[in-house]
Amino acid sequence: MEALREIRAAEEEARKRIEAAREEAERIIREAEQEAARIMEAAREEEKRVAQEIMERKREEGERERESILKGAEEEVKRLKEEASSKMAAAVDVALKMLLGIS
Amino acid sequence: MGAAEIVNRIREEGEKERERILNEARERARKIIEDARAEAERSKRRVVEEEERRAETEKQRIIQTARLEARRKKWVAQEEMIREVMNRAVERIKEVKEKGFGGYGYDEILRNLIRVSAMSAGGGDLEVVLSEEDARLISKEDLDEISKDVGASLTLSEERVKSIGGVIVRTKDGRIAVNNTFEKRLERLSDAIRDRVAEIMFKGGAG
Repeated sequence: MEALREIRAAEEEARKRIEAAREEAERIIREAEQEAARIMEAAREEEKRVAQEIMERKREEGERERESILKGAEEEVKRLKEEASSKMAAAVDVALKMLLGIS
Repeated sequence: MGAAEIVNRIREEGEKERERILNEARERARKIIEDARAEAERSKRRVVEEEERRAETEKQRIIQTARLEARRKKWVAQEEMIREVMNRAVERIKEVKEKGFGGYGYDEILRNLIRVSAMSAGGGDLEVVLSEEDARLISKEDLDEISKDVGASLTLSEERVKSIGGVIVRTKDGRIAVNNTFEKRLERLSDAIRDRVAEIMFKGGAG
């Protein structure tokens, strides 16, 4: 009888230890899933930050290019006006000639 | 097998099962975290690639807008100068009336315009309509000479046109009218004048 009691006690102890292990396993998985969710959340935050950085960098590049193009255009207009001014008198003569019907 | 041996075996098997459960959970947890990290990395790469494309499009939009603006500035400057040329040409007509132009007196220029207009009107009985100021420059003899040249019969109309100069030649029945006042000529020749002026001023064409 004593032996049977010892065996049952051992079985009960083993059952409890297995049950505890299952609970521990569930906790481990739960914590891992929480950690995975934190990783994904951090990744989304990082993605937003990186995306913003990329957009800002490209916009700055675009703005620099824009300034350069407009500066170039202003210089071209200035040059154009200078060159055209020197030809203004000839152009007026031609326009007048056409207007007066002188071929 | 004795009871002690059975108890030990139960304990050993229980311990093994416990270890198996925990090891399996740890392995699954490691996999969950590893998968999450890998997915986070993949997602980040996707976002970076997509954002690079989007941002490049935005950059190109800014550049394209600037190029259009640059072209517009150039076009506006050219237009201003062309307009100035046209305005100056019209203003010069007053001076031409006094001093002539290109070796021609204004009366010659006017006679030439009447001649050209009469030919365009197709000859026959034609009326010449001038401004008050220009009418003083054309005599009956002038009209007779032009009539002879172009095979027409030109007479000066009593009607006067309000114009900076030039002429209207029309058939007596009014069915055909050739308007060569300078205002009308400017309107009609505007595109041709602009093209020629642009060629001279911006493409280095000879006057």
